[in-house]
Amino acid sequence: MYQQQISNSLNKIKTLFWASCLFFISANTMASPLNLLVLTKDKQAAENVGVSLTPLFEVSPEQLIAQPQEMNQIKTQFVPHILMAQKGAKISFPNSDSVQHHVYSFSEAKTFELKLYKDQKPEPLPFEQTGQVTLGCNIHDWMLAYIYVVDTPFFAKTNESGLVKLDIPKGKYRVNLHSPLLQGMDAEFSLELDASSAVPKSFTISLSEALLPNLNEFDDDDEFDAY
Amino acid sequence: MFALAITVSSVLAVTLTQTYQHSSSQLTAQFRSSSSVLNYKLNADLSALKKGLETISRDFSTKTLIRRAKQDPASLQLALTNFQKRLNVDFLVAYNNERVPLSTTPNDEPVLQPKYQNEDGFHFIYKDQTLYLLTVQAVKFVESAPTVDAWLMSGIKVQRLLGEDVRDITNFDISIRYMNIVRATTDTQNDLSELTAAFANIPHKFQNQANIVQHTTFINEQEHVVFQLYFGLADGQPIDVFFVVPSSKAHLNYENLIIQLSAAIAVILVLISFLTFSFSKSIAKPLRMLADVANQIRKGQYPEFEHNRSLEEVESLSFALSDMQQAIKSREQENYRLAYFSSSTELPNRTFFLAKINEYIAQEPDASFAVLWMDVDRFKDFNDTLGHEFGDAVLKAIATRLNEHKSSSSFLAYLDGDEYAAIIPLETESDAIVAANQVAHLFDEPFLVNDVALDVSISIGVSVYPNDTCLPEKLMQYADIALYDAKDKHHSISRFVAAKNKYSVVRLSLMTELKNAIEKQQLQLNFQPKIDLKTGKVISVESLVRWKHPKHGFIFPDEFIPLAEQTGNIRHLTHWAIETSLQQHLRLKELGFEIKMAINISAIDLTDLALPPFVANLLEKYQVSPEALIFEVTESAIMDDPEQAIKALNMLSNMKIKLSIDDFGTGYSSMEQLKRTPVDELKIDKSFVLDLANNSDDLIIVKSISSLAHNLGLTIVAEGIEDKATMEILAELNIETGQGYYMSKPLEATMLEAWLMGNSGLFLAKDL
Repeated sequence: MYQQQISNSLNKIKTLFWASCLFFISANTMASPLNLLVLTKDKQAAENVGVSLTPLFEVSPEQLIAQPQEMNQIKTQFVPHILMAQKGAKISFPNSDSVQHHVYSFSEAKTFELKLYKDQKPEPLPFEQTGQVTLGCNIHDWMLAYIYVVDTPFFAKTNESGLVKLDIPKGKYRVNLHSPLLQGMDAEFSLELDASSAVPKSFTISLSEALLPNLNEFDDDDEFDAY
Repeated sequence: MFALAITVSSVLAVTLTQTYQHSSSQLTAQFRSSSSVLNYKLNADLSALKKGLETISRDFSTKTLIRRAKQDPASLQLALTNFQKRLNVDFLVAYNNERVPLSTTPNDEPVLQPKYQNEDGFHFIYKDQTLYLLTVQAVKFVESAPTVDAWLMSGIKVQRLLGEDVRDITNFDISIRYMNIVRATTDTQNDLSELTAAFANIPHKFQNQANIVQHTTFINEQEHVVFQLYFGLADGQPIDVFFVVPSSKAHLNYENLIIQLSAAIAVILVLISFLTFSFSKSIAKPLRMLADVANQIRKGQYPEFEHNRSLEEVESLSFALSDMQQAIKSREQENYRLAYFSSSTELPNRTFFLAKINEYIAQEPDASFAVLWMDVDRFKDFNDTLGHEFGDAVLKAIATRLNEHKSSSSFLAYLDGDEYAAIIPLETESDAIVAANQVAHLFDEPFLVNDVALDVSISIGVSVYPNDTCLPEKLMQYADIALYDAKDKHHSISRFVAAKNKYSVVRLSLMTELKNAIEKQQLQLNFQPKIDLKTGKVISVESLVRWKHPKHGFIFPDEFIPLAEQTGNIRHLTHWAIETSLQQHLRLKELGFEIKMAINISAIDLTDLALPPFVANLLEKYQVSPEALIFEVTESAIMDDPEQAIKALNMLSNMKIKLSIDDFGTGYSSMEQLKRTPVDELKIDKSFVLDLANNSDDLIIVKSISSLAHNLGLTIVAEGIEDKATMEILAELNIETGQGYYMSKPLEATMLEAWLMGNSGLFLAKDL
């Protein structure tokens, strides 16, 4: 049974892989597989860190179409805690709770407030400026989320092993990291890397400062479902 | 009389000073509590303020206004003014996260210093000739985010905090001085400049010391007591807080006290002088006599004295003294008994025992004695099964028996629990074990306690003066350690040994028996055949000693040989083994077998110059050729003292006795020495042989030993052969002789004879 599931998901991954290959081939650009490992100062996996790769070359316009994103509210928590979005992306704020939320941000990159009543689906908001957007809820002080708006379609978050796997067009990129827990030099982290080979390339980024303590110890997905 | 007058006046002086000091210390205590009260009050005021500020900071509209301060500063300013009134503070300012004021006219806003947030205590600011107490609050746009987006700071005029209520609850007038000027006070009668002048002579304080200094000053020509408190800094300048109370209120008025006391003392003076005169005659003299007696008692003497009957009181004191003297005498004896004897067994106790060891050493420092530490085995079981009273009776019975049998020169003590100790003078060190054995044998007979016959045994730990140590405490400790060792190993007697030669104690006691064992024919030799690997002929047997102990059963050589070596008793054993082997050789010869006898010789034997002549005599006596003997010496025995060993081996070799190196490969032989050693044979240690058929490493070692030995002209014996394959490999390697369970285990004499007759002295490989 379990094995069945694994093989199913493997098949899915394979399909996805081929699909993305086809996509890139059709875009007339060979994909370059890239593995990025982000480690903390004491060489532990840095989990849930946003990684963006800004191409330092011309990218075809159809690749630059921003994908819409979603910041949900489930059991009076934002889900996900950290959301990556391309500049210009529309982000929807569905309210999955039976209570009202009052989502707001005073951040430079996007200042807004949305009163979200039960079962209401407001229009998605466009995020036109890059930067960190800190989200709160005026009704529930404990709610906290971060949206990182980046000027590139190539981004991801590190998994529990600190790993990011991306298939990106060949070329040179600038790598930036995004997380509220980064401090000092790490918050300004910038690295140029060359992803020109068809062979999977692996890079390791070691943070130079300790991560800030995570005051919002909850997972993006399932932890609260357990109750 | 004169002395009395001085006494009285000094009492008066002391009383007055004490009274003054008392009121003074009460005042200090009052100041302490008042300063706490002030602290508490200000903290309460501040925390109320802080609550208000916090509420404002969490307000969504506040956040919106702060966020939009750049675009719309007027709205924020208006809102702040509104909040300022609501909170009843004297100013309220908003700052951005870089601590820059967000209001329209940033220049006159007070500076928000980081320490206001980070440091505990009160924070003040001095602005427009006024001192303010500050409250600071962080504003976070998103409450649970860690980042601070703005700050709020409010200030309240210090004068407003010093209301009349403060004076009521502290019982002091409180003034606050900053930059040498009093800025605020609870004092409604004197103005600030008058107070400033009054405190001018009191220097600043930069911290609060533990000892409180009391100042005196004049305010409006009236004397006041002043206490000072440090409250913190504002712009680097200290803030002094003065607690002021009029002196008249502070101290008791003690003029009345002086008069009352003086009158009372005068009356007492008169009375005392009269009494002194009338009683001195009848009391002083006999009392002086009794004082002398008491003094003598103090010195430990018990003088006889006459009772003075001049006065009833003196007489009764005299008798009391005499009774006391008797009581002291008997208590002293009782104390001595309690201090030096155990009450349950009436034997001397540990303290006495230690003192006695000291005494033995002091009297005869050169005389050896043993300290025995004894512990009743399984005493807890007696106690548990038969009760504590019975247990005590057992302890007493043991004490009695030990005491009855002890010699007059020995000393016995009861330590505590179930432990006894004894000091036994010795002729030689080895007598210690004998003595311990004698004590142990006292327990062979059962004890009759309350008509119950009980088998009791004890364990004994032994230490010896001066061999182990010359320190009395150490002797006791060592004996105790030895006792633990005995208990640990379930031996009845254990002799203390320094950690290095920690040999088993039973073996030690066995050693005393080893010599007798030979006489009592408790020892026997077993023989393990050695086979010529080419022909299968039995060419020799190794003699192995076994001890059939009447009590302990079979004792293996590993257990008693090392000890026999250490005590030197090994010689007797070796002599016996050689003689017995020769006798057996003759028996086998009678049966028609020419078998060589291999006997183990220890390192100690090699130092025994009597061995070669002894062997020569035996060969003569039994008419046996020396070739019939093989002496096996371990590699390590040779290497311990190569010079001496080679000398002894040369002598034996010259007698034509064949020499074999036992356990070869386990020690660290030097090739040079091996060459010089007159040996004929190497015996490869069984550790290389046991697994030879399967282990290629062993094969390499055996091969190289074999080629080495053959090159040196030595023959080789392989011991530990357990299977046919190994035997065949060894034969292929040209190893001459083999020994092991595959051929035969060590056999008793009669069994050996039967075995030889069964195979006609020829061992043929059997297929399993």
